[in-house]
Amino acid sequence: MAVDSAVTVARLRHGAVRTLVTVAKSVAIVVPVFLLATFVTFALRSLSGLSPAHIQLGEEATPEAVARVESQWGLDQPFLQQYWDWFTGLLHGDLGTSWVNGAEVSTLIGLGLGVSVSIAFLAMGIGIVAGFVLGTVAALRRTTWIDRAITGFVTIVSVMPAFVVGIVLVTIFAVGLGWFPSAGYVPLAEGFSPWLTHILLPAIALSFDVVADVARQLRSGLIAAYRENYVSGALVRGLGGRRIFFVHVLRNAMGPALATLGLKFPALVGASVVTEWIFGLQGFGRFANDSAQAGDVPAVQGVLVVSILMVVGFNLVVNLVLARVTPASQRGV
Amino acid sequence: MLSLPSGRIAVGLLILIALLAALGPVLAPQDPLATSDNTLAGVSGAHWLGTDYLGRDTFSRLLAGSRISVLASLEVALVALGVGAVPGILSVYLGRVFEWGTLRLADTLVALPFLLFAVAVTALLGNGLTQAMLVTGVLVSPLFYRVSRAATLTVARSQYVEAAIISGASVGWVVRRHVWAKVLPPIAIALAQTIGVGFIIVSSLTFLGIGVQPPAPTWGGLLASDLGYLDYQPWAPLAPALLIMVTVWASNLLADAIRDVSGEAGRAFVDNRRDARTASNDPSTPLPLGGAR
Amino acid sequence: MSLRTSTRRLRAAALGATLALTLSTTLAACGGDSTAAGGGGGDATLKWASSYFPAHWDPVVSGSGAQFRQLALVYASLTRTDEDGKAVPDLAESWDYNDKGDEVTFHLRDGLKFSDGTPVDATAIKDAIERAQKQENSALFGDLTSIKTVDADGLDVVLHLSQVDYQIPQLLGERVLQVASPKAAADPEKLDQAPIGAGPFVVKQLVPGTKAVLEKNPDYWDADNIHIDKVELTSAPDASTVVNGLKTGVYNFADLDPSQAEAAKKAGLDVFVQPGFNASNISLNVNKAPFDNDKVVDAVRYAVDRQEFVDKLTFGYGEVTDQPFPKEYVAYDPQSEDAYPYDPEKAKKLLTEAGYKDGEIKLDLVIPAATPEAEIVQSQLGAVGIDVEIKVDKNWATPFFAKDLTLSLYGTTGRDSAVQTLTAHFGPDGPLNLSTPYEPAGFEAAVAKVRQTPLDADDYADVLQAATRAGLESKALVFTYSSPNLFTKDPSISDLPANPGHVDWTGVTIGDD
Repeated sequence: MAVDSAVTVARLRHGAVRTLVTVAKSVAIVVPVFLLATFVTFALRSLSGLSPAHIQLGEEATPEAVARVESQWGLDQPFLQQYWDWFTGLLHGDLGTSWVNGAEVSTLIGLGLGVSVSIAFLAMGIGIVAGFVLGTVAALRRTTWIDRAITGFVTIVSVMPAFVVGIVLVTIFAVGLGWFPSAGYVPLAEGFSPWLTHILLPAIALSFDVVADVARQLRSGLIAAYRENYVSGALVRGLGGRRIFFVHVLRNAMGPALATLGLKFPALVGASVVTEWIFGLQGFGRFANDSAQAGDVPAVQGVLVVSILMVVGFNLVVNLVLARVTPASQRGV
Repeated sequence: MLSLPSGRIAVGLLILIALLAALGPVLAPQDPLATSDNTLAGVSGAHWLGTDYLGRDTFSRLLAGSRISVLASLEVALVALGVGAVPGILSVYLGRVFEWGTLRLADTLVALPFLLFAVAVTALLGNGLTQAMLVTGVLVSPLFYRVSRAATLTVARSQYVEAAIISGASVGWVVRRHVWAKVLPPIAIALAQTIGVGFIIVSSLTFLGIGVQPPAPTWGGLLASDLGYLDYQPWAPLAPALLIMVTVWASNLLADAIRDVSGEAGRAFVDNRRDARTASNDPSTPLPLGGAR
Repeated sequence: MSLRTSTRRLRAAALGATLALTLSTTLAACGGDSTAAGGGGGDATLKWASSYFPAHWDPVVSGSGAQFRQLALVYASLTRTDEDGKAVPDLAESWDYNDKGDEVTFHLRDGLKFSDGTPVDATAIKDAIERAQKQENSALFGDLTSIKTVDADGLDVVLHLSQVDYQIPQLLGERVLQVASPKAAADPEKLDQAPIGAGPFVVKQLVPGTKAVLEKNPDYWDADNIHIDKVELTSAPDASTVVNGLKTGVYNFADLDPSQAEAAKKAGLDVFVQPGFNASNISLNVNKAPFDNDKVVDAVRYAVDRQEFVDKLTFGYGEVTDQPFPKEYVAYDPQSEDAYPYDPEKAKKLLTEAGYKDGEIKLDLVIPAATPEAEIVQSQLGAVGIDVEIKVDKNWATPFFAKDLTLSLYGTTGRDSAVQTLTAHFGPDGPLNLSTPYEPAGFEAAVAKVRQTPLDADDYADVLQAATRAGLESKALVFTYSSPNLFTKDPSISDLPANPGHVDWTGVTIGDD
């Protein structure tokens, strides 16, 4: 027993080190990505030629007044200087001030972030679970009518844009059957059940895309994995079907499906702009849309930075999981 | 490709849609912009799909809208192709620095949620559909980058190419002679898929009212305004929604058909970073698209 | 075997624990981020989805536009209106004019306080008036030109007027003089996002542009008649989703677009038609080409088919009008009715006479949001050869009120003082006059005459209509149609008082909540 625990501890330590290495490698890739993405985001202001004077000044929009407002906002400094100020502010969590109402952008985003993150995670969760189940069932029952039905369903679902799905869901489940509210958000602090009923429909609308891709990927991954030689070998050695599935085949087939998740998350964040519009949610996506329409550049920049962070963070997690589940994938980098 | 029933369906649908786009405004039975007093009418002989809230013929508006939507999606695909494929091929030959730089650039672009970015950039840069499509094209280009890079890598390591280079052939010659043929099929697949993606993005943007110049009709815009009059015409959103879905389905179908047919070449259509070691080499494995919606 | 499983189990447990921890922290954070205002059971809560969520909560900056109704939740004013549109007491108990008519004294109620404790006295009123006149970004200074100086004496406010003007009590209502606490108003920028008034409710939380949570103000002078405990004001989502929101209980009161009225009724909701003095117009800037040519302006007038607006936009609730108010209003001048009947041929002829070929005039119609109204204008002007392109600008208010636009649309929801309506549209500094400083000849004199006529005089209506007639000579505005404001409410909310143009919560109860 003592030997057992010693080896266990050693194994754990080894595993922890490997995880750290993966994290370090991912971070090393993430840093230049983050720098470049934030630079592009910042450059948008110069490209757009917008300025707070455009929003704030009315009758007094003389060139002197415009210049005064712009220098108040620090916009007469050289470009790189502005970038540096903005970037260092970013690292401290200061995302700037809105041109429209002078509030802190980080506060404004924070207020809507809870809504969007709840929905995004729930959508991901639904997408993963439903996708895995559908993909597995389709693979295990391949070429039967179940497989064809699931594949057909997945195909239809994958061509429906999120807003079409959202509208259909509202019409049928909220307005038609009255099971769910059609709009609005209740924070988790005020009760689990109201929170869930409000976000379930938008989460389902967003999850369809994930479900379709995960199901498809997992199905073909599983079918291919089952063809491999080691499976026949395992069968010959007398291992049970369930054992083969959970211990061997699933791990090897999950790779592409998990990789898809990393790519789906930015799509999810983007699609939330439309679902929040349909479901009347005052979330992150809605804020992005409103700020962009109003020409509130700092707010838009803040939104983009936060979404970059979310995507990058999520990809980090996916990479970690991939490293654990299919260590081989890490050698490809 | 036409030997496959799926291929035939896909090509047929896409040709139909292309015709709609090209000839739509001409084929339209009425002027899509002409208002009348017959508002929110139902299906009739004169108006095959009824009229909208200003008395305009819905069927004509759908036809006219096809041009804008289709052209915009094509724009996305072509921009993505141009921006992604060339560096992808060149990254194999132009040295480590270029390779590292373009790989990181591709990673960056993938990290940007593109509907959000498209909304932001479009609104800031003048609210035109062209800007939106340009931005989206750039954001989707990593797909083409990876695809062409993977295909080029496969070819570059093959013996006849090595032989060619040993015998003194230039990079340009090798690319023109060998790489291009191998790269074309996976690029064709990516192109077909990107048209579908572009379509969904165009519809989403025009649904939100971005890039739409009233009264010009777009499928997404028609869907959005139909929602305001659901009580009077509950079946109205079906037409634009179905059109969008059918077009996307047709392009996906086309992508699958090309992949099935190109067999060996299609097998190069694999993301070389994550999936190279773990994905099956079954050509029917769909590639995780760089964010489909 | 067992070793591997135990290691694996440990790892799985560790991973699972980390995941669970992250998830629960995120969720807890999510919960903490949003509003923490928890309602107790049995609170009567008004959940209002509004299309006019105020961008500015400083009444001086916000002005007399439609969002004054939302500000009226927080602020009270000297007077308010009854069902006939006449001024009745609010913060002021009574008022009287001197014999000449150029001085009016308002007597305030005793013992009132703002929600920050500052007393509501004459100094506070004086402060409010002077701020509205002098603050740099005031939207109201043009409406207060009659007030020369203000004296404060305890609870009596004496206004010395620069001319005889009997309109003042009508004027100093909710649209013009919402009174903010002078202590809070010392920092107008702060007041803009944290309003403090003496109205029926107090703001507890304000998310700029998005949501406001208010609670009943126990110190409001009429608090006994306010039966609503809490208000949640939200910026309304898309018009088509508002009815769904009410149906599913997310909101219980909302501004309603006429196209949704049928849907609301079918859903079993009440549709409340608010009496009012709305009028929509096409605004022209005669200081810019091509509208500096009278013939072009007249061409636009003849090109407009008002009936089309009514038929396609109002769903049975509206009517045509060619004056800044509907036909039933006292200031409507029957003599000026239909001065420019619909005649597209004449419009085309006028354009040719002015030297423009078909399609030669190209204009941008700049508006805050794409509406069917704009598309109708576009098609009607297009039919006579004027090429109009619709440009949506979310910051439209800035160039519009700065008179930088050439062509735009506006819809007024009326004013408590008829004179204010006229001067707002036709006066040289009128906020709704896109052609400032242009004003039609004779208008100034006609308006002065109205001011000098007491409201209860026999000839008041005639004098008023004469002023309207003078104003309608203006080349800057083409009025099109009048459509009342619609609201939809859950049947659990009792009927609102039908005060024209105002949303009054006095006496309104909310079901068995």
